[in-house]
Amino acid sequence: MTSLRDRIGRKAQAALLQRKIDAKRAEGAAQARQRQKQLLEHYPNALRPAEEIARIRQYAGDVWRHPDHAEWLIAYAMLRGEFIEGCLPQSYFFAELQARWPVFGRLRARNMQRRLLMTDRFPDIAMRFNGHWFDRNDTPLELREVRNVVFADAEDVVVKVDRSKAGDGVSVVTRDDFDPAALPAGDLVIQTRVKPHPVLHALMPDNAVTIRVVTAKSATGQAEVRIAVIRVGNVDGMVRMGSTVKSRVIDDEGTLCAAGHDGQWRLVDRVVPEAEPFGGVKIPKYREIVELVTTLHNRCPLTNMIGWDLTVDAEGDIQIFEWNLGNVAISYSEAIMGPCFAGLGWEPR
Amino acid sequence: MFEALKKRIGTRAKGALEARALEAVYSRQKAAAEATKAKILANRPQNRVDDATRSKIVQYSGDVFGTPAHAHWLEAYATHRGTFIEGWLPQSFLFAELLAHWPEHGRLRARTMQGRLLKTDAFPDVMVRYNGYWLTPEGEQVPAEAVAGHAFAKSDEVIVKTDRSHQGSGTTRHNRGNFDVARLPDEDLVIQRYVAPHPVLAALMPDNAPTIRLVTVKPPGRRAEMRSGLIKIGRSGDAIMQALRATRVGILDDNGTLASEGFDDMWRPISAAPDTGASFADLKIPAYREAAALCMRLHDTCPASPLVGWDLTIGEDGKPWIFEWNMGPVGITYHEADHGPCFEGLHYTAKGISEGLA
Repeated sequence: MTSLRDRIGRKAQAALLQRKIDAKRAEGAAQARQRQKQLLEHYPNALRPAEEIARIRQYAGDVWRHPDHAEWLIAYAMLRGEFIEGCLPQSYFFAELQARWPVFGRLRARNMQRRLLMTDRFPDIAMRFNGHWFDRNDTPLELREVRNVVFADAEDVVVKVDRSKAGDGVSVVTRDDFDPAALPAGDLVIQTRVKPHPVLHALMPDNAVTIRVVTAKSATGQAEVRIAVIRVGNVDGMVRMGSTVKSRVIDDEGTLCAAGHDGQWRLVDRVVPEAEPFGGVKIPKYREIVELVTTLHNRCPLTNMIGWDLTVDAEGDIQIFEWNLGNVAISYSEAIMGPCFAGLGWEPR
Repeated sequence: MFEALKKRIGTRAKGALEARALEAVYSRQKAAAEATKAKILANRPQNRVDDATRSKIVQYSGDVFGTPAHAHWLEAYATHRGTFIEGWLPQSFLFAELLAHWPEHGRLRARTMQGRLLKTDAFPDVMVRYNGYWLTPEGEQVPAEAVAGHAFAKSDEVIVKTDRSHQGSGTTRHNRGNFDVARLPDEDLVIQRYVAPHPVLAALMPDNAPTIRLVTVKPPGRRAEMRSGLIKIGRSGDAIMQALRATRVGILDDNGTLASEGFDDMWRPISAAPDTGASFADLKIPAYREAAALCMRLHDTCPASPLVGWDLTIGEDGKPWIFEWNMGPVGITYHEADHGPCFEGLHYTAKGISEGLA
C-alpha cells in the first residue's frame, strides 16, 4: 500500500519536474525571441507577414502543444525566408522531448566515453574520476605520475571538466602551468591538442575546427546521420556558444555549403578574411565519419540522439572530442535545413 | 526578483524533499534493525542488550555518527554478537550520510554496461538489452530474433536479470525450451550464461550457485582494499539463490576459509549447509585469492563508488565469475554483526565526512 507520505513525496517530485519543464520552455522561448531580434537587426527583410506568424502560433499550439514553441519556429522562418512545417522547436526538444527520453545520468560522463563506446578514437591522454587518476588505458596513476604521463608526447594539452559545455570548462594547459592539484574540482579528461587536417586547417588557421555530426535512432532501430555541420571558433581558439561560425554539409561526400553563418546567424562565406571560403570544400574522410558515428551510436544507444564533436587530424585519423547526450543545440540546423528529425516519432503523444 | 523568489522556493522544496528522504532512510533502517533484533532474540534471548550497554551505544552513536538514530543497528549487531564493539559501522550511517556525501554514481550502476565500464569479461554476460536495443558484449546490435541464438551459444541455461533486480527478485533462470525473448520484461536487462558452481560450492547447494559477496573499499588516494566477505547459500528447489532465504557464512581470512558457524535467514546459528548437510568446518572457497584480487583490480579500474559489493561465484572451471557489482545501499549488517568491524580506518564517521576524509 502506498503511504500518504510517499504519495505526497511523489506529488512534490512531479510538481518539481513540471516546474523544471515550464522553466526550460520559457527559457527556450526567450532565447528564440533574442534570436528573432538579432535576425531583424541583420536582415531588414526578415520580418514575417502577420498572417504567417498567426499561422505559426496556431500550428505550435496544435502540433507542439504549447504556444511558446512558436518562437523558435518564427526564428527559423526568419532565417529561411519561409515557414516549413515539421521543424522541431528547440524549446520543445530541450524542455519536453528529453524529459521523456531514457535517463542516462552519469553514464554520459566524458571520462567514461571511451569505455562505453569501446573505441580509442578519442584523443584522451588521462582522466580523473572521483578523485582518482587514470591513463588512457584506464590504468590507475599515482598523483606524482600524472604530469609525466600527460606530457609524454606534448607541450600543451586540453583539460575538459566533466560538465563542460560549449567551451566553458575547457582550457589549454602547458607543461609549465600544469599542476594536477590545482585543476578544477570534479571529474575531468585531458586530451591531446589535435592538429587538424590541412583541408580543415585552411578554413581557420590556428584554430579549433569541429565537425558536429548528429545521429538519431531511426524507426528501424539503426542510427542515422541527421545533421552534419562544421563549427569553427573565431574568438580564442575554442568552439564557444554564440561565437562559432557554421557551415552545413550538403551531400553524402561531406561537401560544405558555400553559405555559412556566424554566431549571430549573419551570412558569411568564410570564417575570417584570410581563410579559405567554405564553398567547394569537402570534409576529408566524411564517409568514414558517418560509418564511425552510426556504429558507435548503435553500440551504445544511451539516448535517441547524440551530437558528436570530432575532427580529422593531420594524419587523416578521425578524432572524437566528445559525445553529447541531451543538450544538443538544433536551432541552426532546423532553421537552415530542417526538418532534420522527421519520421522519428518525436512529436507530442 | 520574481525569478529569484521562484528559484528560492524551488530550492527550499528540494531541500525539504532531501530532508524527507533522509528521514525515510532513518525510519526504514530503524524498522529493519528492530526486526533483525527481534529475530535474533527469538532464538537467543540471553543476548538481549542490557540498559547500561544500550545507553553506552546511544551515547556512542551520537558522539561518532552525529545522531542517536544509528544506535538501532549498533544494538542489533551487539545482540547478535553478544557484546558491543566500538568501530562498527551502522548500516543506516552508510545508507543515509555516507551515500549523500559520496559522489552520486547514478546510472553508472547500470548492469547492462557493467562489462564495459569495468573493462572486463569476468561477467558471464552474453547479451544485454538497453533502451530496447539488443547488444552483444562486443557492442554489436542484433535483432530480437537472434537473441536466443546468442544467449545459448555458450551454455544450456541462462539467467535473465533486469537492471533493477534486487536480492533475487527480477532475476529468472531459463533453458532453451522455456526462453522466449518476447516474454521477457520490457525493460533494460542483462542475460548471463548460468555459471555451474565449483564442486566445493555445489556441495553446499547444487541447485543454485552459492553467491560470494565481497565488499571492497576505495579510499581517497589509495588502492582498493578487500574489507569483508561472506557466502550466501540458497535453498533446495530454488532456480536461483534467494537472498531473503539464504544462509550466510563469513569468510575469515585471505585464503577464503569459512567460519565454522554461519546463520540462517532467521539469524539462527548453523554449522552445516541447510539442505545438503555439508559442514562449514575447514572449508575453503576455491580460487578465493584470485577472486579478491579481481574485485580489487576492478574497483581500482572504476571507482564509481568508494564502497562496492561484488556478487560472484567460482565456476566449475575454477574461475571467479562476477554476477554483478553493487553500489549505493550495499547491505553490511551481516558482515558487521558476524565478523565486523570491517570498515575501520576509513573515517566513515560524522567527523570524517565533515573533514572530507570519508
